[in-house]
Amino acid sequence: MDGMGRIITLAERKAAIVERKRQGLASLRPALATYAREHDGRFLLFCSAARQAMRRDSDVDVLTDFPESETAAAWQFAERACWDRGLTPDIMPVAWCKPDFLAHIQADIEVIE
Amino acid sequence: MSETDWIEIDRAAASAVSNFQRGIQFARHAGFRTGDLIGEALRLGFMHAIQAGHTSLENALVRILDLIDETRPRGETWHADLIGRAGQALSHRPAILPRDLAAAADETRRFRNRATRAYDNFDPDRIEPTLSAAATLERGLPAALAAFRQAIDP
Repeated sequence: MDGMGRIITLAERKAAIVERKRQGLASLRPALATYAREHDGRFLLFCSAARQAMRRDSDVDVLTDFPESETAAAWQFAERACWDRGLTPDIMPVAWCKPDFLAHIQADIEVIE
Repeated sequence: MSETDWIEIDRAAASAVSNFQRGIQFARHAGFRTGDLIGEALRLGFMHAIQAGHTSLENALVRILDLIDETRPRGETWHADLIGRAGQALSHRPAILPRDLAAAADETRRFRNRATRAYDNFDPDRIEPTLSAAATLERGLPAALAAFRQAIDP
Protein backbone atom coordinates (compact mmCIF):
# COMPACT_ATOMS: atom_id res chain seq x y z
CA MET A 1 0.00 0.00 0.00
CA ASP A 2 2.29 2.76 -1.33
CA GLY A 3 1.90 6.21 0.17
CA MET A 4 0.11 4.96 3.19
CA GLY A 5 1.44 5.89 6.62
CA ARG A 6 1.50 3.54 9.53
CA ILE A 7 -1.90 1.99 10.05
CA ILE A 8 -3.47 2.94 13.33
CA THR A 9 -5.10 -0.15 14.67
CA LEU A 10 -8.50 -0.22 16.25
CA ALA A 11 -6.89 -1.12 19.55
CA GLU A 12 -4.65 1.95 19.34
CA ARG A 13 -7.62 4.18 18.51
CA LYS A 14 -9.55 2.82 21.46
CA ALA A 15 -6.57 3.25 23.75
CA ALA A 16 -6.17 6.86 22.62
CA ILE A 17 -9.82 7.60 23.39
CA VAL A 18 -9.50 6.00 26.81
CA GLU A 19 -6.38 8.07 27.50
CA ARG A 20 -8.16 11.29 26.46
CA LYS A 21 -11.03 10.42 28.77
CA ARG A 22 -8.62 9.65 31.58
CA GLN A 23 -6.94 13.03 31.15
CA GLY A 24 -10.30 14.75 30.89
CA LEU A 25 -11.44 13.12 34.09
CA ALA A 26 -8.21 14.12 35.82
CA SER A 27 -8.85 17.78 35.02
CA LEU A 28 -12.56 17.46 35.77
CA ARG A 29 -12.03 16.53 39.41
CA PRO A 30 -10.40 19.80 40.56
CA ALA A 31 -12.92 21.83 38.56
CA LEU A 32 -15.81 20.08 40.28
CA ALA A 33 -14.11 20.38 43.66
CA THR A 34 -13.65 24.13 43.29
CA TYR A 35 -17.29 24.58 42.30
CA ALA A 36 -18.48 22.36 45.14
CA ARG A 37 -16.54 24.33 47.73
CA GLU A 38 -17.80 27.64 46.39
CA HIS A 39 -21.43 26.51 46.31
CA ASP A 40 -21.77 24.58 49.54
CA GLY A 41 -22.24 21.16 48.05
CA ARG A 42 -20.47 18.16 46.64
CA PHE A 43 -20.36 15.95 43.58
CA LEU A 44 -20.30 12.17 43.72
CA LEU A 45 -18.63 10.27 40.92
CA PHE A 46 -19.69 6.66 40.64
CA CYS A 47 -19.33 3.63 38.39
CA SER A 48 -16.39 3.55 35.98
CA ALA A 49 -15.30 7.16 36.58
CA ALA A 50 -14.93 6.50 40.29
CA ARG A 51 -13.29 3.12 39.77
CA GLN A 52 -10.65 4.57 37.40
CA ALA A 53 -12.00 2.11 34.86
CA MET A 54 -13.15 4.35 32.02
CA ARG A 55 -13.67 2.57 28.73
CA ARG A 56 -13.95 3.98 25.24
CA ASP A 57 -17.73 4.30 25.54
CA SER A 58 -17.97 5.17 29.23
CA ASP A 59 -20.11 8.05 30.46
CA VAL A 60 -19.09 10.07 33.47
CA ASP A 61 -21.71 9.25 36.09
CA VAL A 62 -22.15 12.17 38.47
CA LEU A 63 -24.54 12.78 41.33
CA THR A 64 -25.00 16.37 42.46
CA ASP A 65 -25.54 16.97 46.17
CA PHE A 66 -26.39 20.62 46.68
CA PRO A 67 -29.15 22.66 48.30
CA GLU A 68 -32.25 22.42 46.12
CA SER A 69 -31.95 26.03 45.00
CA GLU A 70 -28.43 25.26 43.69
CA THR A 71 -29.21 21.92 42.05
CA ALA A 72 -29.96 23.15 38.53
CA ALA A 73 -26.86 25.34 38.39
CA ALA A 74 -24.66 22.54 39.76
CA TRP A 75 -26.04 20.17 37.13
CA GLN A 76 -25.39 22.72 34.37
CA PHE A 77 -21.85 23.33 35.63
CA ALA A 78 -21.01 19.62 35.75
CA GLU A 79 -22.56 19.05 32.35
CA ARG A 80 -20.52 21.80 30.69
CA ALA A 81 -17.39 20.81 32.58
CA CYS A 82 -17.68 17.30 31.13
CA TRP A 83 -18.47 18.44 27.61
CA ASP A 84 -15.57 20.90 27.64
CA ARG A 85 -13.27 17.96 28.33
CA GLY A 86 -14.69 15.63 25.72
CA LEU A 87 -16.54 13.60 28.32
CA THR A 88 -20.15 12.44 28.13
CA PRO A 89 -21.97 13.29 31.35
CA ASP A 90 -24.76 11.31 32.96
CA ILE A 91 -25.92 13.50 35.79
CA MET A 92 -28.52 13.04 38.49
CA PRO A 93 -29.18 14.91 41.74
CA VAL A 94 -28.77 12.76 44.86
CA ALA A 95 -32.16 14.03 45.98
CA TRP A 96 -33.77 12.25 43.04
CA CYS A 97 -32.30 8.88 43.98
CA LYS A 98 -34.01 6.23 46.04
CA PRO A 99 -32.10 4.83 49.04
CA ASP A 100 -31.75 1.37 47.48
CA PHE A 101 -30.09 2.88 44.42
CA LEU A 102 -27.64 4.82 46.59
CA ALA A 103 -26.93 1.67 48.58
CA HIS A 104 -26.31 -0.22 45.34
CA ILE A 105 -23.64 2.22 44.15
CA GLN A 106 -22.19 3.00 47.60
CA ALA A 107 -19.05 0.94 47.05
CA ASP A 108 -18.24 2.84 43.85
CA ILE A 109 -18.73 6.43 45.00
CA GLU A 110 -15.93 8.99 44.94
CA VAL A 111 -16.85 12.15 46.83
CA ILE A 112 -15.62 15.42 45.35
CA GLU A 113 -15.96 18.39 47.67
CA MET B 1 -43.08 34.20 5.55
CA SER B 2 -46.62 33.01 5.38
CA GLU B 3 -49.21 31.11 7.33
CA THR B 4 -47.94 27.80 6.01
CA ASP B 5 -44.45 28.45 7.38
CA TRP B 6 -45.86 28.21 10.88
CA ILE B 7 -48.11 25.17 10.56
CA GLU B 8 -45.60 22.59 11.76
CA ILE B 9 -44.21 24.94 14.40
CA ASP B 10 -47.69 25.55 15.79
CA ARG B 11 -48.41 21.82 15.69
CA ALA B 12 -45.22 21.01 17.58
CA ALA B 13 -45.90 23.73 20.14
CA ALA B 14 -49.46 22.48 20.62
CA SER B 15 -48.12 18.98 21.16
CA ALA B 16 -45.68 20.30 23.77
CA VAL B 17 -48.45 22.12 25.62
CA SER B 18 -50.78 19.14 25.45
CA ASN B 19 -48.15 16.75 26.78
CA PHE B 20 -47.11 19.08 29.58
CA GLN B 21 -50.79 19.47 30.54
CA ARG B 22 -51.25 15.72 30.59
CA GLY B 23 -48.13 15.25 32.69
CA ILE B 24 -49.45 17.74 35.23
CA GLN B 25 -52.78 15.92 35.32
CA PHE B 26 -51.05 12.60 35.95
CA ALA B 27 -48.94 14.05 38.77
CA ARG B 28 -51.97 15.63 40.44
CA HIS B 29 -54.06 12.48 40.24
CA ALA B 30 -54.94 11.03 43.64
CA GLY B 31 -53.34 7.72 42.72
CA PHE B 32 -49.96 9.11 41.60
CA ARG B 33 -48.05 7.92 44.66
CA THR B 34 -49.85 4.63 45.27
CA GLY B 35 -48.07 1.31 44.98
CA ASP B 36 -50.64 -0.34 42.76
CA LEU B 37 -50.86 -0.64 38.99
CA ILE B 38 -52.72 2.65 38.63
CA GLY B 39 -49.99 4.49 40.52
CA GLU B 40 -47.31 2.87 38.39
CA ALA B 41 -49.18 3.77 35.22
CA LEU B 42 -49.58 7.38 36.34
CA ARG B 43 -45.89 7.71 37.18
CA LEU B 44 -44.85 6.14 33.88
CA GLY B 45 -47.38 8.37 32.14
CA PHE B 46 -45.93 11.44 33.84
CA MET B 47 -42.38 10.56 32.81
CA HIS B 48 -43.46 9.90 29.25
CA ALA B 49 -45.60 13.04 28.98
CA ILE B 50 -42.81 15.35 30.15
CA GLN B 51 -40.33 13.69 27.81
CA ALA B 52 -42.77 13.97 24.91
CA GLY B 53 -43.55 17.58 25.81
CA HIS B 54 -39.90 18.54 25.83
CA THR B 55 -39.20 16.70 22.59
CA SER B 56 -42.09 18.54 20.92
CA LEU B 57 -40.78 21.83 22.29
CA GLU B 58 -37.37 21.05 20.79
CA ASN B 59 -39.07 20.23 17.51
CA ALA B 60 -40.79 23.62 17.49
CA LEU B 61 -37.56 25.46 18.30
CA VAL B 62 -35.54 23.65 15.67
CA ARG B 63 -38.20 24.41 13.05
CA ILE B 64 -38.08 28.08 14.03
CA LEU B 65 -34.31 28.11 13.58
CA ASP B 66 -34.73 26.50 10.17
CA LEU B 67 -37.38 29.04 9.24
CA ILE B 68 -35.10 31.98 9.96
CA ASP B 69 -32.03 30.28 8.42
CA GLU B 70 -30.22 30.05 11.72
CA THR B 71 -27.81 27.14 12.06
CA ARG B 72 -29.01 24.44 14.41
CA PRO B 73 -26.83 23.69 17.44
CA ARG B 74 -24.77 20.58 16.75
CA GLY B 75 -22.82 17.95 18.59
CA GLU B 76 -23.41 16.25 21.89
CA THR B 77 -24.37 19.52 23.58
CA TRP B 78 -27.12 20.43 21.13
CA HIS B 79 -30.06 19.79 23.44
CA ALA B 80 -28.71 22.19 26.05
CA ASP B 81 -27.43 24.65 23.47
CA LEU B 82 -30.83 24.79 21.76
CA ILE B 83 -32.48 26.00 24.96
CA GLY B 84 -29.67 28.44 25.61
CA ARG B 85 -29.98 29.81 22.09
CA ALA B 86 -33.76 30.09 22.30
CA GLY B 87 -33.41 32.14 25.45
CA GLN B 88 -30.93 34.53 23.93
CA ALA B 89 -31.67 37.59 21.79
CA LEU B 90 -29.38 37.90 18.78
CA SER B 91 -28.68 40.89 16.58
CA HIS B 92 -31.21 39.79 13.99
CA ARG B 93 -33.97 38.47 16.23
CA PRO B 94 -35.38 38.70 19.74
CA ALA B 95 -35.17 35.77 22.16
CA ILE B 96 -37.57 33.02 21.15
CA LEU B 97 -38.31 32.16 24.77
CA PRO B 98 -38.37 34.68 27.64
CA ARG B 99 -35.99 33.95 30.49
CA ASP B 100 -38.50 32.13 32.72
CA LEU B 101 -39.59 29.82 29.92
CA ALA B 102 -36.00 29.08 28.93
CA ALA B 103 -35.22 28.14 32.53
CA ALA B 104 -38.32 25.94 32.63
CA ALA B 105 -37.31 24.29 29.36
CA ASP B 106 -33.89 23.53 30.78
CA GLU B 107 -35.60 21.86 33.74
CA THR B 108 -37.71 19.64 31.46
CA ARG B 109 -34.58 18.86 29.43
CA ARG B 110 -32.84 17.67 32.57
CA PHE B 111 -35.93 15.75 33.64
CA ARG B 112 -35.81 13.90 30.34
CA ASN B 113 -32.32 12.76 31.27
CA ARG B 114 -33.71 11.56 34.58
CA ALA B 115 -36.66 9.77 33.01
CA THR B 116 -34.67 8.02 30.33
CA ARG B 117 -31.85 6.87 32.60
CA ALA B 118 -33.31 6.52 36.06
CA TYR B 119 -35.09 3.25 35.38
CA ASP B 120 -36.67 2.28 38.71
CA ASN B 121 -35.02 5.15 40.55
CA PHE B 122 -37.91 7.57 40.04
CA ASP B 123 -39.17 9.19 43.23
CA PRO B 124 -42.62 10.77 42.79
CA ASP B 125 -42.01 13.03 45.78
CA ARG B 126 -39.17 14.81 43.97
CA ILE B 127 -41.01 16.20 40.99
CA GLU B 128 -41.94 19.68 42.17
CA PRO B 129 -39.33 21.59 40.10
CA THR B 130 -40.33 19.62 37.00
CA LEU B 131 -44.02 20.07 37.68
CA SER B 132 -43.53 23.80 38.11
CA ALA B 133 -41.51 23.98 34.88
CA ALA B 134 -44.17 22.05 32.96
CA ALA B 135 -46.84 24.40 34.27
CA THR B 136 -44.77 27.44 33.28
CA LEU B 137 -44.31 26.11 29.76
CA GLU B 138 -47.91 24.99 29.41
CA ARG B 139 -49.13 28.46 30.40
CA GLY B 140 -46.53 30.58 28.64
CA LEU B 141 -45.38 28.81 25.50
CA PRO B 142 -48.23 29.77 23.14
CA ALA B 143 -47.98 33.47 23.99
CA ALA B 144 -44.17 33.45 23.80
CA LEU B 145 -44.16 31.90 20.35
CA ALA B 146 -46.94 34.21 19.21
CA ALA B 147 -44.92 37.22 20.37
CA PHE B 148 -41.83 35.94 18.59
CA ARG B 149 -43.84 35.36 15.42
CA GLN B 150 -45.31 38.84 15.62
CA ALA B 151 -41.82 40.31 15.96
CA ILE B 152 -40.26 38.54 13.00
CA ASP B 153 -43.30 37.95 10.79
CA PRO B 154 -45.74 40.80 11.45
